[in-house]
Formats: sequence, C-alpha cells, structure tokens
Amino acid sequence: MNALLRHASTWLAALLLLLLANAWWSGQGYLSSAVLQEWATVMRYAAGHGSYREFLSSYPPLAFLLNVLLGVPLHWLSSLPTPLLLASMLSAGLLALWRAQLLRAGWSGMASALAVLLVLINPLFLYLLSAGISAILLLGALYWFAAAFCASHRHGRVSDLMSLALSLVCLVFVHPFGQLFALVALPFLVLVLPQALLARSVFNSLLVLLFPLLFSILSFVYVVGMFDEAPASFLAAALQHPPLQPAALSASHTHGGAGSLALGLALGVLPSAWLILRRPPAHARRAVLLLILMCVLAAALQLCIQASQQAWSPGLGEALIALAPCMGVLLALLRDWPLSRLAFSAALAVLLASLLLAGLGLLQLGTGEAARWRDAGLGRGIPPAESASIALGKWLAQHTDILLDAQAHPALLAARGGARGLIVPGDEAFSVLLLGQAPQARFVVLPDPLSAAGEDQLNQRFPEFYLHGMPGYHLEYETYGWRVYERNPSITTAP
Amino acid sequence: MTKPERLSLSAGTPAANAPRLGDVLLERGLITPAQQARALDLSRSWRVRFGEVVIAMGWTKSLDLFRTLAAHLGAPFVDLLAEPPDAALLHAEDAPQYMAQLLIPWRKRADGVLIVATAAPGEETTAFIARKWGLDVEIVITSKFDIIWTIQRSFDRIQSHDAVHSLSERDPLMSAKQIITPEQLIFIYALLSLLALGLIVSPVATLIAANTIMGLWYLGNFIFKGLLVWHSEQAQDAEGDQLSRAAQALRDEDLPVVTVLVPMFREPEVLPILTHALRNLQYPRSKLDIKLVLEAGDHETIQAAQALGLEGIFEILRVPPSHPQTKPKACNYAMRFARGEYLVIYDAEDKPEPDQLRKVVAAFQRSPANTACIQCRLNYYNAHENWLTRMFTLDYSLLFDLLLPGLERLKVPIPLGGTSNHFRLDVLRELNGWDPFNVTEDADLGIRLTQKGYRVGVIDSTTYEEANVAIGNWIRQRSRWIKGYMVTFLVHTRRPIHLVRATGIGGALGFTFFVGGTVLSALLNPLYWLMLLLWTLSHASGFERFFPPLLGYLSLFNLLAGNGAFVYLSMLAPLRRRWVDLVPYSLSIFAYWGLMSVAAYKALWQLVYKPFYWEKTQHGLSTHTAAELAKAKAAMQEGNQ
Repeated sequence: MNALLRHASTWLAALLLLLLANAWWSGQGYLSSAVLQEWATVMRYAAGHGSYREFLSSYPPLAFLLNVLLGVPLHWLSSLPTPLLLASMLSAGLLALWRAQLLRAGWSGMASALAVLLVLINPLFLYLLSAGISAILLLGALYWFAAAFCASHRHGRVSDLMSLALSLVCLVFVHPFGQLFALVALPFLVLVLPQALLARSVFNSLLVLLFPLLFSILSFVYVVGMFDEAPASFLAAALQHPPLQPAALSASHTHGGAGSLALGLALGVLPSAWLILRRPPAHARRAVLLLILMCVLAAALQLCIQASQQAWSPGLGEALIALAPCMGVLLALLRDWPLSRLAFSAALAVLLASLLLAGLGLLQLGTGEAARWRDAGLGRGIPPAESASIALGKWLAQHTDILLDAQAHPALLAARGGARGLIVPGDEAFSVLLLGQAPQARFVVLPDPLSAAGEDQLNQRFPEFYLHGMPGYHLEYETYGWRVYERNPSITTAP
Repeated sequence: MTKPERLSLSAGTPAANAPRLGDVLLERGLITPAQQARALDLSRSWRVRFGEVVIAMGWTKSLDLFRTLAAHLGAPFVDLLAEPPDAALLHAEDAPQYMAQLLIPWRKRADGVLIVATAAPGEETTAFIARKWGLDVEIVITSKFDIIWTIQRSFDRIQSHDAVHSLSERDPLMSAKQIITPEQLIFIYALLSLLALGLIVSPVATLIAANTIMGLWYLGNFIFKGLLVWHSEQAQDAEGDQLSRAAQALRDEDLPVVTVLVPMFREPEVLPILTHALRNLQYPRSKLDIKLVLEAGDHETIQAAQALGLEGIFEILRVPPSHPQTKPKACNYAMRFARGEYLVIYDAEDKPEPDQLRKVVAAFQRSPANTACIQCRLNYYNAHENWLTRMFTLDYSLLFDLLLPGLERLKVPIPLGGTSNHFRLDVLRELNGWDPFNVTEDADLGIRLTQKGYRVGVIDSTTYEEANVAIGNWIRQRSRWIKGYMVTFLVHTRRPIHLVRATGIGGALGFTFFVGGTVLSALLNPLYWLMLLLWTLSHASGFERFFPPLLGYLSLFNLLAGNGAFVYLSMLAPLRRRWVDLVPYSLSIFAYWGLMSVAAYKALWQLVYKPFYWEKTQHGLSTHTAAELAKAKAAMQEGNQ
C-alpha cells in the first residue's frame, strides 16, 4: 500500500507540474498542430460528428482511439484541451513508472525523484508533451521497446519476448514515426533472441517476435480495406507525415544534416561509453547494443525526413526535436544500468547533459512550430496567423449552421470551443455536398485557396467560391486569408 | 494353526546374540552377499529397515522375507489368508491406522490376551500397540500384503461405499452427484425465459444485448489469458533453479514416504513404461508406496501386472465393482490404503522426470503451510508424431508451462491437470478425496482446495505422457474434459458469494474465465465463424442493425485481436522448452479449435444424457509408445540379469 501511495504521489506531483507547464504554453497562445488536430477530433466526436469509418480506420489507431475514448468524457468535464490533459496524464504515468522501476533497481527515493525531475524539465520531454497524445505514446512505446529489448537480452524469457513483440506493434500503431523505428530495429532483434532458439530455427524464432506485428498490420489493412481502396497506404504514413514540427521543414538553416548523429553521440554515447569500460562485459554488451540502437534510430529518422523533404537541411535544433522520442531508449538504458554510486552519478550527469544540450539546441531553432513553442515558452507571444484563426473561431462560436472542413482547420474548431452547429466531414450533409449538391448551410467558411491552409475539401469542391462567392450567398466576415459567406435571407432552407 | 507364544511389547528386537537379518537371509540363500552389502548401505542411508530395502529392490519375495523375519525375531508367522482375523476385532474407522502401521488385531486368546499381527515389528509399532490396546497384547508376524488384502477384504463394502459417497454425503454442495441444484435450474430457466421474452418483444435489442455480453466475455477471456502468460515467467527460472538445488540437497533419510497411485483400466500394454519410469525416480525405493489401482473385473490388466513379477513396493489394488465406474472413484478407494505423507497420481503411460518427487518434497517444505497440492507439468514424448500430437503439445505447453504458473502467481484457483498432482494425504482425506461424479475430478479438486482455504503450487518438473494420435480418440478424451469443466463450473458457482469470499474477486473472475471461458468459447466459436462467413458472403448487408457502431467495433476487435492473441499464445507455448520447430504449427490452430468445438458439443450432449459416463482414452496407440515399451522391457530384462 505504501508503494502504491508513493507511486500515486509521484504521478500526482508530476501531473501538477506538467499541467502548470501546459498552462504556461497555452496561456501564451501556443497549441501545437498535432494537439489542435487531436482536440478538434475530440470536439467533433463530442458533438456527435464522428464517423464509424474514421473511428475504425484512422491511423495511428491507438493514439486516435485513446484520444476519442478518453478525450470525449474528459471534454464534458473540463474545458481544457483534452489532448494536453491526456498527454500530461500519460507523461506523468510514464515518469511514475520510471521512478518505481528505479526504486526497484535500488535507487534511493531522493535520487530517483531528482532523476524524474531532470527528465520532467528537459525541453525535449516538454516539447513532446506539447505535441500531444501520439508523441507521448511514441516516447512510451520506445521506452517499452528498449526495456523489453534489455530484458530479452538478459533473460530471454517467454514473457520478455512477448513484451518485445508487443512493443513493436505499439511502436507502429501509436505514431507514424514508430514505423521507421520498428523497421530500423528489425536487424537488432536477432541479437536478443536466445541462442538456443536461434540454433534450432532462425525463421521460427523471428516469427515469434514478428507475428504480432505482421498480424496487426494485416488486420488493420483488412479493416481499412472495408472502407478504402488503398488499405495499405498507412504504411507510407511516416514518409508523408511531417515531423513533429511541420513548419520546421521550411526552415532555411544549414547547420548540416550530420548534426543529428553528432548530437546523438553527445546525448548518450560518449558519457555512457566511458561508463561501459568500467562495467562487467554482459552489461556492457547490452548497453552498447542499446546505444547503437538509439543512434541508429535517430539517424534513420533524420535520413527519412531528409529523403522525404529534399530541400530540408536540418539544423541542430531540428535534429534535436527529431531525436526527442529516442529519450525513451535513454530512460530504459539508465533504468537498466547496474546500481552503483558511479552509475547513479553518471545517470544524473547524462540527464543533465541532455537537458543542457536540448536547451542549447532549441535556441538554435529558426522558424517553425518548435521555434514557436520555444518563443511561447520564453513568453514572446504568437504569430498573427494564429490570432486570425482565434478571432474567426470566436466569431464562429456565436453562430450555428456553419459549413466547415473542420478536419483541415482544427485551429478554428479549437478557437470556437466546440463542434455543435457545424456541418463537417463525416456528416451526411457534408458527404451529399461533395457529391454535387449546392450548399444549404447558413454560413460557409473558406480559406484563401492560395494560402498554406487553402487545400480543403470545400475549396476543391467549389474552387471559385472563395474569390467570387456563390449565388445566394454574401460575404459576411473576412480576416487574414479567411472568408465567411452567409446565405441570403431570401433563400429557404431545404427541409 | 500355529499357536502364538506370548511376546513382550519390545518385540521386534532380536536377542542380542542373534545373527542379523541379513545374515539369516544370506544363510537361507534368499539374497547374495553383494545384495546384503548394498542393502546394508541403503538401509543406513535411507534410514529404513534392512528388510524394506531387500523387498523394495526386489531381491527377495515378500513372503520369504516375513517368514524369515518371524523366525529371526522368534515370533510366529501367520498367513492371514489362510487364518483370517476375528471380524469382531476389526473396526472400519481404524482402517487408516492399520494401514499406516501395517498391523491388524488378529484374534483374542481364551485368556483375553489380544494378538496383533504386524508386518512392521519394531519399537514404533510396539509403542502404538501399547497406546491403543494396552500392555496385555501378543504380537505375531505377517506379511505386508496379508495386512493390505485382509483390510481390503474386511472393509470392502464400507470402503467401496465411501469411495463413491463420502463427498456427496459429507459435503453435498461440493459434489457433482446432483449436477444442477434446484436454485441453479431456476436461474437458468429464468435467464432463458428472459431471453425468449426479449426476442419476442424486441428481438433486435435483445440480440444486441446478448451480442454485447458475449463480446465483452470474449474480450475479457483473451485479455485474461494474455495476462496469465505475461505473469507466468516472472522469476520462474530463478525459482526453478533454487528448487532444483533444494531438491538435490535433501538427504535420503529425511525423505517421507510417498504413495503413488496408478489407476488403470484395460491398458496392460503400457504398464512396463510406468514401472520402468518409477524405478528410475531418484527417490529411496523403500519410501515409495506404489499402488496399481485396477478394476476387480479387469482380469487382463491384473494378470499382466502379476506377470511382470514386480518388486514389493508395487501393490495391486482391486477396486470392487460399483457405479459410477470412474477414475476418481478408484482413486478414492485406493486412498484408503495409502501410507505416504504425500500422494501422487500417475497415468499408466507416464514418465515423470527422475527428480520429480524430490522437487515436490522440497517445494512442500518451501511453500506456505496451507499448501495442499503441488502440480507438476505435463507434456508429451511423442510431440512430433503427427499434426494432432503437435497441436496437442502446443495446447499442453500453453496450459502447463504458461497458464498454470500464471494462475498461481495471480492467485486464481488452479484446475489441476490429470496426473502428477502431489497431495498432502491428510488434506486429501479431510476433503473426502476426489469427486467420483465429476469426470475431471482433478480440475474440480483444485478449485475445491482453494475454496477450502488451501493453496495449490506449480513447479517446474515435467511428466511426459503419450499424446493422442487419432482424432476420434482425441475427441473422446476432450469431450470428457470439457464435460468435466462444465460440471466443475456448475458445482463451484452454486454459491457465488462463497466463491468470491474464498478466492477473492480476481480469483472468482479468473475461475469464471479459465473454466467457464474455455467451455463457452468452444461452444460459441462455430456460431461466430458462421456469422462471419455469412457477413462476408452477404457483403455485410443485413448485419448492421445487429451490430451498432460500438458493438461492431468490439466484435471486429475480438475477431482480429482475439484470434491473433490466441494464435500468438500458442506460438509462445513451446518456447520454454525451446521447441521452436513447433512454432509454425500454431498458425493452423483454427482447425484444432474446430475439433475442440466438436468435442464441446459432444460434451454438452453427454452432460444432459450421460453426465457420469467416463469416455475412456485409449493409450498405447503411438509408435513412440511402442518404442518406449521396448525400452522399458529391455531395461527390465537387463535388471533381471
């Protein structure tokens, strides 16, 4: 009971601190695009605009389901952005779990609390938190994967192999980047399979590790295939998905793409390599494996991002952000380290170094979402485009019967505070509209087709509407690339 | 009749200048000098009597030994078969004592002196006699088998009755003699009526509700099984190593007597396999009390057992005919003749690992005081014979290597496996043994033990058996098991509140999922597969109204994740034994589930029409068994030479 209370108090304390951090960033007007998207989804489902098809086939499904199933009830209870609330709860849970495992490994209460605090205030951790449920789940999945990897290497028990196999599934289905991590980790799996199994059959041994992943992918393809003609398209999601900060890709920094690897080394390899020389060989092997894995994961992620975005040449800050989920591997590595006074000091040193490097890296950021996050964190305010969305959202909040592509513009929904009174994708009226019917809604909200947000379903269906309007509608509201048309009073609404 | 001479109560100790028993046996040519020396060593190291060693090793006949012993002690020898005891002196309630002490009140002389016949003369026996009958007693010698057969003959009727009715008369709520109680019948009737009413008034809503309950049941079932596997191996290896070391550290002289019951019916062909395996046990033979429990009418097996010329540690117990003719009834009968501190059941074709009994004793010593049973693992020596044996091996590996240890760790009642369950005899007697009306008496007893506050442990020691090689035989066996699970579920859910109090909410839920879930899944699977087929063929038309979005999602999740999870658990099953070659066969488990469903419907039919019928599994069909048999016979011949 004491242990349970201690874990609960760690969770609660971490949650309070994380909520405070969230409150600060939200107070500065910052909400990441991922959180906006997740929050908009919650609002749509809370207002009854969810669709069965979307519910079944959205990728990544674990993050989506968690967001909807927990977010909708929370939305009714709280006006806070529920994805942030959920992400905070999950992050606090991860930290409480990590502390419990450190305590079980022999760390003292104070040392474990200090280690948790160093993780909590790490800018990378806070940035992941602000990136919403999916990003935090990715961090958790990588932590699980790394921990299972260590356990499989150490014990090779059935439950360890099961854990490793399930963590791979989790990786792939919590975040598009998880696919890349899982793919890159595949060759390493052979290294942790017990020799007694490998000696009998490599194929069968790998089947044990990969069956859940393969079965899950096929199952998801089957489910998506019930609605979609390209059911396996989600497998390319990682390449299509913007990195954790989409706008950063347009940054023109040229600090060099190799920065990521150097940073990976600086984060963990060098201090740990120094420690490895003083550890027994078995532990050293495991540590080396994990460190190599971490670096390869990070480098792979960077290369994939670069491959998909030819023009992008990431700088130190961007590389750092892409590295952020690999913190999960680092945490597992520190947890798994054999206890000694030296190990404790070294672990704290690694955490401190990571914290400082992350801070320095973030100062290097130019523009983009991560830079906006940094600026909001430093109390520097938000760009005007966001203000326009907020203003429009507030205006929309006073009206109903509004036609809006809410999936494409989650910020509007977030600023409006709810999806009641909207006609959005997934609604029958919206689907009928796309099939050729003329708009019947009182208000139609359209972005400038030439702007970054302009490619929504309404502009595709009515390409002239924004510029020239439509018979029966007049321009009612305009602000920074947005126009709202209102139906003329003489037109009667179809029953 | 030889008139016995009055003996002092220190009988059992020969005169100081008398030759030693070994010398007398040697002098009479009953043992060789080498056997004498070896027996002397063993009797010292096992701390047992010299005579017990020579009998246990089969170096001399039991009757010869006891005649020699009588002469050695200067006491008369009586043949109880030729000169039966005075029935008026025998009391049924004392039968366990007679068996434990290997003595029997024989006759009373005209002057009122009681004559007690014993096969275990010595100070302990003398002290017992003094406590029970006073000092005015004479002691005569008889053989162990004379005592056993006499007790059997004398109390045949009452012990046969007890074997069948002991549980149902003393603890009727725990007995399956009445399969369904009136309260259960009313509950089931009410439930079916409610369902019928719902189908009439609002068929769609009723089907949605029923579907939702089943969906949640499936979900709970596969999550629960996953959790069991997850928890199965926490620290298991370390515990296993420690137990092995503790078992090897046990001294022979400290080991208790263990009774081994081998219930058999019409399977004389596999007998040598078991006797060979039992001889190979790393346990002092004279501390083994092995009983071949045979039906009195099974002359074929009785003759085969007699023809083997087994050592004195093997006894043949003939179970008097009565109904129901089930294995638990035979075991109950045999339990009354058990002399061990612990008791274990093996099937005729079983091959326990040689150190199993030592591990069990060590496990009992290291377990909490309320531990009443230790279950060992079961697996198959003919795993690779055909598809069925491979699937059966996956099934058993999952159950015994992963699920049962998981149940133990999560403190869920453990349905015991058919053999290799080792009991504390006193607890077994206290609980009235097995339920003869339940065809999975072992599973039932495991749950009953937990309900009565006792604990069941699981250890890492394997008994290898013969896997069914033929589908018909497999279905017969499996239908019996599933029928037994049905009966066990009905018996132990009679008092749901008591079940929750005794096992906790987790334990009761675990029992429901593990025992009830196994049965229900096998029964419902074909219906859901049929529905899936119709859904696929009809391109989902017409099904939407029965599967609203959330239920549809749950059903889809169960269909994919549930089936995937069970396939994966089967894939993990052989890993503990590193039998990775069996892994791909788990992909064909759907066909195995189909067979399970066939067996489940047969079991349901039998539950209604033949609830106590024991579907006999035929052993000895495997080619591996033939090889094992040949090996055992060769070893026996080698031993005889």
